[in-house]
Amino acid sequence: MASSSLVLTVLMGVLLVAVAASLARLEDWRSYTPLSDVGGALGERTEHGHEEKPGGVVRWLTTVDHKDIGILYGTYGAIAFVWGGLAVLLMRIELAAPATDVIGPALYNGLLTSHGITMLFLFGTPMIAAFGNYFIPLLIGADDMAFPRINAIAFWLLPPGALLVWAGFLIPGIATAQTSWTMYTPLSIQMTSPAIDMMLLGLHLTGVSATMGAVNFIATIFTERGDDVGWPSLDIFSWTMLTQSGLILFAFPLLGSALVMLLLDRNFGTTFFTVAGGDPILWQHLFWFFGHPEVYILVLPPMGIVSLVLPKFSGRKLFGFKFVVYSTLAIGVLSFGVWAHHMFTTGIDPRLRASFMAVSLAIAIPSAVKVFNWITTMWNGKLRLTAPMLFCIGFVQNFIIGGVTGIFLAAIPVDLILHDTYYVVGHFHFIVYGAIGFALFAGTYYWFPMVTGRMYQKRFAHAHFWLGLVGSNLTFLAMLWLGYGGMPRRYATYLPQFVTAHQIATVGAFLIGISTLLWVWNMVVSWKEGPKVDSGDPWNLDETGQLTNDWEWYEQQRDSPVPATDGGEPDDAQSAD
Amino acid sequence: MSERDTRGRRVVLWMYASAVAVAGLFGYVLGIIVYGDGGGPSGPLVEGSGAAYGAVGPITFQLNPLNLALFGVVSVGILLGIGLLAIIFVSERADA
Repeated sequence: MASSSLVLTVLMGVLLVAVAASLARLEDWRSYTPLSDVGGALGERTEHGHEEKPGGVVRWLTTVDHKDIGILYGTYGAIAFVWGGLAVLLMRIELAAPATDVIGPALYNGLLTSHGITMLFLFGTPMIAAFGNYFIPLLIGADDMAFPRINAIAFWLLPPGALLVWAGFLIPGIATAQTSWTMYTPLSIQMTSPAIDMMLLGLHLTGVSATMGAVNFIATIFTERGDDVGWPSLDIFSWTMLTQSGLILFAFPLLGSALVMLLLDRNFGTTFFTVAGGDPILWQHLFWFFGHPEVYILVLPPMGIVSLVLPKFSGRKLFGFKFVVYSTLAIGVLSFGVWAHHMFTTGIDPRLRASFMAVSLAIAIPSAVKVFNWITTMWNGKLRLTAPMLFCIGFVQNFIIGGVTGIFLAAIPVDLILHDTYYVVGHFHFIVYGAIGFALFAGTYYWFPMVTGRMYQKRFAHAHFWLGLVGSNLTFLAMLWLGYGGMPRRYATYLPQFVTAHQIATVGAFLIGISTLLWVWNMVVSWKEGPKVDSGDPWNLDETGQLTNDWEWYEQQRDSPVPATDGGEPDDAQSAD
Repeated sequence: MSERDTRGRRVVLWMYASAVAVAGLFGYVLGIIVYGDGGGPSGPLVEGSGAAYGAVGPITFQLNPLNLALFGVVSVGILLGIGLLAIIFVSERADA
C-alpha cells in the first residue's frame, strides 16, 4: 500500500509539472493579463482590464480575469453540488425502508462523508467565491482582484482537491473514506483506507485555496476601491465578504494544522489524537474551533446577497444598513467563542459548557437584528416577486426556522437529549440548504442577465423556488420529527417506527432534486437561448435610486464593449500606480 | 421584468401566517409520531405506559397531537407576533 501511495504521489507531481510546462509554452499569457498594480504586467491599464483573450479552452486554463475565475468557481461549485446531491439522493433511497435494501452500510457511510464534505468545502465555499470574484471588483469599482494570479492559483487548487476528496469513489479497489465530515478521532486514525489520507490532503488543498482567496478579498476591498467608494458607501455584500475573509484567515490555517497532525497520527506514529498518549477530544476542540466559524464563513456572504438583493425588489433601501453591518461584524467575532457547544456531551467541564452556552445564545441577537431589518425593509415596500426576490423571502423564512431550532440546541439540557439525533441534522440543513442555498440561488438569478446578457426562464425559476421550498420544509421538518423521536444520525438502518418520517424526508429530498434539475436546465438553456436583455438595467433599479456600481459597469460595458484603442483612459480613471 | 407589484406588508403577513401554520402542523404531526393518534400511550415512539404531560408555567396539558398543535400555534404566534409588532412600531416611526 505504501509503494502504491508513493507511485501516486510521483505521478501527480509529474502531472503538475507537465501542466505547468505546457501552459508556459502555449502562448504569451502576459499579453492578456489584467494590468493591476502587481509587478510583471506590460502595457497600458484599461477600463475593462482585458484587451484580448485567447479562444477556446486555453482561455479558461490561463485566465486571470476575475470574471472568468468567478465563472470557473461557479461551474466547479455546480458540479460539486450535483455530486453531493446525487450522493444524498442515494442515501435517501436507502432510507426509504428500514433495512439495508439498496446500498450497504459501508457505501452509505462513504456517501454520507462525501455529501457533507462536498457540500461544505467543494460547493458552499467555492460558490461564494464565485460571487465574490465576479462581483466584488465591480461593486467596489476595482479593475480586478488585487492579486489576479494568486486568484487563479487559488481556484486551480480546487479541482485536484475535489479529486482527492472523492478518491475513494474514483479509485477501484480501495474503501471510501467513512469518517463523516467531522473526521472524529480515534476512528479517523484507525480506519486504514488510503482514501482517508487522500481526503485529508484534498481538504488541505481546499483550505489553502480558501485562505489565498481570503487574503485576496481583504487586499482588494482595502486597497482597490474606486475613488467614489469610501468605507461608508461600501456595499453590504462586500462587508460580508470582508468579514468572511477575516474568519477564513483565522479558521482555515488551524484546520490545515489539525489535518497535518491527523495525517501524522495516521502515517508516522505520532500521538496527537490517539487514545493512548494523546487526546481524541483535542481533535474536537481544534476541529470545531475551525468548524463553527466555518458555518458563518458559509452564511455571512449569502446574508450579504440577501441584504443586497432584497431591497432592490422592495423598492426601498435596506432598513438600518449600519446595524446590518454591525451585526455582521458581531457575528464574526462571536463565531470564535461558541465551538464547544458541539461538545456538550463529551464530558468537558460544566463551567466551560455554561460559558459556551451563553455565547451561543448571544449570537442569536445579531442574527435576529438582520431578520428584523430584512422584514422591516419589506414591510413598507412595494415588492416585485421576481425569482431572486422569492428566494430571498424563502431564505428569511427558512433562516427563522433554522435559527430558532438552533437556539434550543444551544441550551445544554436540550442538547444533552437531542445531541447526535436527526434534530441536529434538520436544524443545520434549514441553514445550509434552506438559507445559504436559497441565497446563492437568488444571486444566480439576480446577476444572470449581467453575466450572460440574457434573461432566464421565469416559469422554470418560479417552479424551482416553490419545489425547493416545499421540498426543503418536508425533508427538514421530517428530520426534526425524527430527532424528537430519538432517531440517531449517521445510520443506514433504523427501527420500523421511524419509517413514515423517513419516507416524508425522502419525498422532500426528491422534490429538492427535481427543483435543482430545473435550475441547472434553466441556467444552461437560458445562457444559450434565453431572450437577450435590452437594457443595462434589466431590473429597473434606477427607478428607485438603487443602481449599484456593478450594474453601472454593465451598462457602460454594453455601450462600449471594447476598451479605447488609443491607449487613453477617461479623465477620472485611477492612475496606474 | 414586469412582475406584479405586491404590498410588502401583505407578503410579511403571509410569511407570519405560514410560519404559525407550519408550527401547528409540526406540533400535530409530532404528537402523532411520538404519542399516537389518540394522544394516549399508543404512539410508535412513546415511552412508558401512561399519558405524558407537559407544562408551560402554571398551565399543564396532556401531550397529544391537538394540544401540541395548539402549543405550536400559540407559542410561535406570540413570539413572532412580538417581533412583528416591533417591526410595525419601528416602521411607522422610521418611515413617517
